[in-house]
Amino acid sequence: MKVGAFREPERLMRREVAVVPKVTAGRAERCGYEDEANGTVTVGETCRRPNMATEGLLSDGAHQLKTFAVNGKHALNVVNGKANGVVHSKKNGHVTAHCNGTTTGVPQSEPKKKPHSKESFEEVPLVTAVTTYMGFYLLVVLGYLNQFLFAPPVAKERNRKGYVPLYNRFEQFYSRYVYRRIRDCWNRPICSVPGAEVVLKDRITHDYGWTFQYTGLEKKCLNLGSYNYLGFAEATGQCAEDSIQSIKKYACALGSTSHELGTSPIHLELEETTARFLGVEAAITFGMGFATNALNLPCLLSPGCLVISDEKNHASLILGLRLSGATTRVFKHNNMKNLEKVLRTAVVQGQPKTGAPWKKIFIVAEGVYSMEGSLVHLPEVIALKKKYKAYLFLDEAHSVGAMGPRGRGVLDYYGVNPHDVDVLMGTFTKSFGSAGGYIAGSKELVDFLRVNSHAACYASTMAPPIAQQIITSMRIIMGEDGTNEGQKRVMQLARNTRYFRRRLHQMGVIIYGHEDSPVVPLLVYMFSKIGAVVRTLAKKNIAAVGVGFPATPLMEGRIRFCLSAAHTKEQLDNVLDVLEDIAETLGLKYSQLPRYKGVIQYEDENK
Amino acid sequence: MLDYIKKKIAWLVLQYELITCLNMFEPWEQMCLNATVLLVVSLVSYSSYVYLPHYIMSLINSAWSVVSSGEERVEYRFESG
Ligand SMILES: Cc1ncc(COP(=O)(O)O)c(C=O)c1O
Repeated sequence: MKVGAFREPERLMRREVAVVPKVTAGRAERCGYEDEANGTVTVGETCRRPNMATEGLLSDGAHQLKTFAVNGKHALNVVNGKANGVVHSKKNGHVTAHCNGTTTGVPQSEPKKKPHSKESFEEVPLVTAVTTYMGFYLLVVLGYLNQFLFAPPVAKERNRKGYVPLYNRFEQFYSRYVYRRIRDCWNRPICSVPGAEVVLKDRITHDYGWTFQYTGLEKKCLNLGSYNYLGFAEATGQCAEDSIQSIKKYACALGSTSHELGTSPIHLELEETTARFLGVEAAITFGMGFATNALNLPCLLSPGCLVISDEKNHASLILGLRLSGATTRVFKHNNMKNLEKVLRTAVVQGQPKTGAPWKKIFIVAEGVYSMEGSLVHLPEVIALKKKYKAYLFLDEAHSVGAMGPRGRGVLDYYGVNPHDVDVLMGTFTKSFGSAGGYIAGSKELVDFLRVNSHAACYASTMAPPIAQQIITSMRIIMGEDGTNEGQKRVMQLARNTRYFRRRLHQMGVIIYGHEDSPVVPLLVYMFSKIGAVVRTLAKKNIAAVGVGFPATPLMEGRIRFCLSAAHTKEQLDNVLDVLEDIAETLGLKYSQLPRYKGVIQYEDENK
Repeated sequence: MLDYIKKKIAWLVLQYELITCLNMFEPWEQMCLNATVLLVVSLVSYSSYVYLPHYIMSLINSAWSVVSSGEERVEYRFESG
């Protein structure tokens, strides 16, 4: 055992005060992964809970335990998922940034050949980096020149002599003179349900993006921009019918908070279904995913706590951490060595100035990172969390429903016991085709949040049709509707993902992330190329989302494709053909990795 | 053949436009940028046409004089090597 570093957290644990997460941690250990009797379990009820823990998962229980044993033992240097029986292709030559703790930052990290890795973050070619920066400087210089010569046609504040400007100057400049030039690629109004296809409203600009006019035309596009992973965004079908019924039964909205008049049987049903879906004891739901993070993190954390957060975490998590006032340290994206180093240093040094032990330590990570398309290395994180007695907050916004053989998120994907994660957070906005967020975990945690959370106390609850959409889609995924429709969707998404990613890789473009992640960022680097690619795709009736600075680092402009179970192979083939064309003409084939020469097969349905 | 060259040139122009973000600019900005690039390129080529031959000749001459008059140095180099 690493001496001081290991003893320290135990001391922390005894000092710490909060009841809720403590019990969770205690219970996780009771579940049989660590024999060590844990002194912190004090609540009587906990004795019963370990059974419940495995009960819900019994069908998979043995499998999960085994998988964990495999992953847990070699936790720090094994690439997981093998135990899940997922095939992965060596030929694809994926390169990894996984566990190479010596390098700096993910994109800059030296690509080391690790044939067994399923994650890829290829380095940017030097020429591209230089030209990208050059393009950006040109944009800025000419932008300032433009601003200097012509007054921008926007509203100005009057009678503000002597005031400092209220709005951030550079941000304003950036959105007016850089973003405005390719503004037609974003915020496209749509006029249909965003399923596999979406109808875009046509618009034109006569003044270079300052204003837009509708032409009155509409265009049907293949939709690669929605987080509609399981294809539940439908205007017809079981979900839609049930939602309509629920309006008749419970009205459109309750217009009150859950503490007052906002709780109806449908909300209780939703929370119960969510807990069952995730295989945990209890869950609490909120009407907004962003607020779930931003308002619940401050409940669990206070000044004097330490949070170790992944550098690519979502804005809502960052806002929550800032609001909580806890000390935040950042670790490099998905870099377990770095995480351990940060953890260890923090534990050894204690709080700054006083050196007192931290009140509690939280690790905050996401399941699938929506901009990188990467997957958290969950078994390693859990091993570290147990080693240092930290709590784990996992945001499964993009992974719940989309990952794992049963669609239950990254926990299912890695075969990890849900009780090993202390706070499970997720949103219904993505896979379930609805809106809102949940926090799931032990009953104590949920009860604590129910009483203390600002989101439960002040925000109005979810509208019944929205809740019903979630309930019905969850039931379909779980197979409780008596069909294997849900399982089919999960499989279809997995097949689409692997096919699309492999084909792109073969094409020679740089894509980021994990082989099984349905978010596929295609790196184009330059600003001008973001615009050019999105426009060309739109011309060919494909809707995709471009992402640039400030959502990504300046240099790493990208096009993000979100795959869906609603897409068919023919649709994907169509996209891939178009992309092949675009990659050739616009010069997107940056990848220097060896490519697979053969024909990539779309997997069989029953595989 | 002609077709191929035409295509190649079109491709190169596109690359130039992408690298300079030309496709994002308004016409007058494009003109500014193109004029600047043209100016720089023409100045560089003009100056290399006028001054480079002379400069290279003098460079070669001086190098030659060093080599031919530097017997000792050459020997010294051999020794140390
Ligand atoms: C990781 C993560 N957390 C939270 C949210 C917020 O969820 P919502 O859109 O439901 O408010 C998002 C949304 O994009 C997200 O990606």
